[in-house]
Amino acid sequence: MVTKKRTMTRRLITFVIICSLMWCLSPHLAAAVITGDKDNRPARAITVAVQYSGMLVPKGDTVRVDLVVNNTGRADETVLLDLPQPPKGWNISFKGANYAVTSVFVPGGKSETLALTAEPDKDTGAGEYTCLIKGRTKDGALTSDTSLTIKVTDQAITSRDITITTSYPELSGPTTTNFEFSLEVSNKSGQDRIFNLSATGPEKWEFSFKPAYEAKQISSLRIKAGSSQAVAVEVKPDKQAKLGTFPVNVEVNSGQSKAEAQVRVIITGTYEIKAGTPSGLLSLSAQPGKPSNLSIYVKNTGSAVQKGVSFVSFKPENWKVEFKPEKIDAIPPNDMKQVEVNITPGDEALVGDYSVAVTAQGEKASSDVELRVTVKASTIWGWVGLLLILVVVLGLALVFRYAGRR
Amino acid sequence: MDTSKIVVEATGLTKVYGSKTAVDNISFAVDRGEIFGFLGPNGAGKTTTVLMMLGLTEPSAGRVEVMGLDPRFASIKVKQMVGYLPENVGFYGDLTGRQNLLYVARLNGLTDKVSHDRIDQALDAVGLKDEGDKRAAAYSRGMRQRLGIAELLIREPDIVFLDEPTLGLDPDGINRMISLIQSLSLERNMTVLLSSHQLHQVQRICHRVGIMIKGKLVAVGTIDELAKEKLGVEQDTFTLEEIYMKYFKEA
Amino acid sequence: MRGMWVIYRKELADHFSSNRFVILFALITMVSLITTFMVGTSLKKELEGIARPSLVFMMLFTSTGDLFSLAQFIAFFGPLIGLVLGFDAINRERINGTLSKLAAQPIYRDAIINGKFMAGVVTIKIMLLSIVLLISGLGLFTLGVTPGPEEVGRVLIYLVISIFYISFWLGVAILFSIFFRNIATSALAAIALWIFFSFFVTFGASLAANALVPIDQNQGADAERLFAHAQVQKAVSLLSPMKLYSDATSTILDPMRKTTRSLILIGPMERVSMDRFNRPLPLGQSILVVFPYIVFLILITLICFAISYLAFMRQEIRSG
Repeated sequence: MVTKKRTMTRRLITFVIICSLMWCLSPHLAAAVITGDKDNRPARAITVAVQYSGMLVPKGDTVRVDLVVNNTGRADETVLLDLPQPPKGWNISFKGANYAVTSVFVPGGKSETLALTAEPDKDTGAGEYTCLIKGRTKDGALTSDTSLTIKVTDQAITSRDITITTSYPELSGPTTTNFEFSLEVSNKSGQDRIFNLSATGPEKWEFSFKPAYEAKQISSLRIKAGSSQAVAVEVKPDKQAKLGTFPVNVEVNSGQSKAEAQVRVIITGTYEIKAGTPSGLLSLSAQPGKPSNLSIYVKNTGSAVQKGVSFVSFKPENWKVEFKPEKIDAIPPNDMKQVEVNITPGDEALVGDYSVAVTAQGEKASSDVELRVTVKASTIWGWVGLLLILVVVLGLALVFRYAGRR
Repeated sequence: MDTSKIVVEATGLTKVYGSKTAVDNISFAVDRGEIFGFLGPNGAGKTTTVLMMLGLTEPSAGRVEVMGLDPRFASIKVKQMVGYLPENVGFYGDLTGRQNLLYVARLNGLTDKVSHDRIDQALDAVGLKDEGDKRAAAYSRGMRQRLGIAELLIREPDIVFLDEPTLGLDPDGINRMISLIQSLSLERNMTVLLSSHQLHQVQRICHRVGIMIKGKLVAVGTIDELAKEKLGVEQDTFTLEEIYMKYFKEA
Repeated sequence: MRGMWVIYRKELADHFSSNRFVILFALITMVSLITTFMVGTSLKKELEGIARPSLVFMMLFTSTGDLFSLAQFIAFFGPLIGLVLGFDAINRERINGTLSKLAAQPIYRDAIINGKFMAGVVTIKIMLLSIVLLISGLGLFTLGVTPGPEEVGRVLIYLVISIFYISFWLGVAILFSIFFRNIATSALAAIALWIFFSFFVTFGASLAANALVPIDQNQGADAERLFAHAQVQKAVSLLSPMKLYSDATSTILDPMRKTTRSLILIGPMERVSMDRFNRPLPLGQSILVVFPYIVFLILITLICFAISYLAFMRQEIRSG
């Protein structure tokens, strides 16, 4: 782009030189030749020209165009710029190095480029406006005119002027994901523009824009004419979002022109289950060889249905751990299923604490519960023993009663 | 109880040890205040009879009544009324004579205060006043027998059974013993039942005797009666020994 | 009843004034104290730097110092106390000629054996209690560890089991003193039985195990076989009251012991599962684990006494 511009500039310069040469057929030229100077340029010569003398702009647009002041003579010149008949409804100013200027110094054989800004008033309607720009040296010896014709059209800039493209218009993931779409916003209009960014999507979703590779959030960005910039739009879905495809409209606008792109977020849901006991108590007591019962729940804390939840246990050898039901076909999100766990310690289990881990194993997620099983000695033998002692004591009492009274 | 003079009565009393009949169907009665002597050789069943009267051995057949009570069923009451001095009465050698007596007094439910007085009196009565605080292990046989009598004095029973009370004593000891036994009857009004094979002493003190040979009671009666029966009527001088030998030869 | 109390008091006084008992008591107390002192000092060294040691108090009883633990010592020599207290209970009276005199007093005949047995039991109680108290005091002194309520409970139960155990031997001794008219015979018989149960049952148990479940020393054996071997050995050795007692007390005294068995089969998973929470057993559970042992000890003690009682009641009183 830049090279093109330069080429054009060169052509223009060439043209100006040729023009100047033609103009040099005048006595001035001869005089110059007569002076016998090696430089065959005229002693003094300036030209003022706008880059694009005719422009087609949509209504309301500010026109910015380069104004080239060329000093083709040998002497340095200060060129004053003048607008003898400014067009109605336009505010025209020249800018060089950030400031509005009215004159410019151009060394001999050099040229300066100023920015011409034509700002329309609000009610400047469609039509053709011509602006004459007059340049003259300080002493008034040399002048050069140029004109800029601005043709204001009614229609807005076509959407082709702004385009949003994205390479990955569809992203999928669970609700916990931050979806980041990378967009390329191109400014195809001839002007630098500030673009406002916005996105619309399902309620409660959050959207934010970030420059590519930067963390800051932005709500608008400036893109130079003809160039493009990468923007990332981050989509945070509502945590409670259901499964499905959610379109998100990303809109870029600048003035009255805008472009839209649609990206789609496919919520696949989270897969998470949690197993626990209703009371929160993770211990139970059991007796050797006797089943002991505990209910555990399996809760789907994810947002997607968990299918095929089965149970496995880590347990000592000779122990039995049974689940009722053995398998849960599906648990909808936020639903809870109760499972009865039957733990039967081995017949030879020692008294004391054992660790039994129960794992609820879904297709996509699993959860562990560690249970402390306190194996307690059976009190039956205690009672039997006490009974035996009682019988013997009774027997002894009988012996006392019948044999002792003598 | 007072209606009857009889305090001990045995009817058909029998004790069988395996194949040996120790006491064979004996019957006798002892009156209140009497001194009754069981005579007989060793192993004639005298001790067994005494033990049955105390309820310490169960009769195999027959019955015995002490003050109208069967010692099998009312052993405590019988034992409260009966004092028993076993053959070769033993004492706890580690304890003094006095302590031994105190132990017996306690077993009889006497309060220590009462028993101390009684012990002093009893020791005095049996002539062991100075020996009371010696260890019983140091006592001679005679002293032990006298201590046994002292025990009976403390208990104050209605009836006393003395099993061979004079066995193994020297003549002086025998004399002291005999007079003590007599005093039990005379001074304390106890019924005395003694067994012995030392006939001289028995003859001196017993009102009536029963002669036991091989488990059988071959004769019961006063010595005079027995003398008449066996030696003829008009013999003035006789000894129990003579009578006894007659019975012994017959058996 | 009165007779029993009088006899009991007399017997108790006899025990505490008899030389043989005093010597034995002094000996056992001395050995216990020395053992505990040694255990205490070695424990103290081990415990240096440990902020709040737990279960230390029980180690006073169970820790084997240089020779043996206190519990082992009582298991082994405790029976001697019972034997010494009872081996001449009846036959000495008989030989002295005091038995028939005693029986002729106005008391029930069982008052004699009850009073004697009770006096023996109370003597045992006093003796064990004083030993345990002395040891606890010594433990407090050397270790500076105060026992918690659970530990006190354990010691109390240990005391009860020990009392029954030694009372069993008292019962045996009294039984022998009834059966054997000769004092020397009953003493020898009681000591023979003690030696039999203390040494030969253990020996016989390993013989029986080797006969029933032989284990080839060279080849070794699988776990099942070793386990069966150990079970046979255990079953036979439990015939010995000493084994019953030492198994029961070691489980009561050591809360980390979860079984009375000496060999257990544990799978690797079970091991992991058990080690996850390796907590000491609560006292109640410890009691339940050894309850059959305690019951058995109490039963043999009671039965032994009942046999002595019946034997005495049926026996002829007459001397000689």
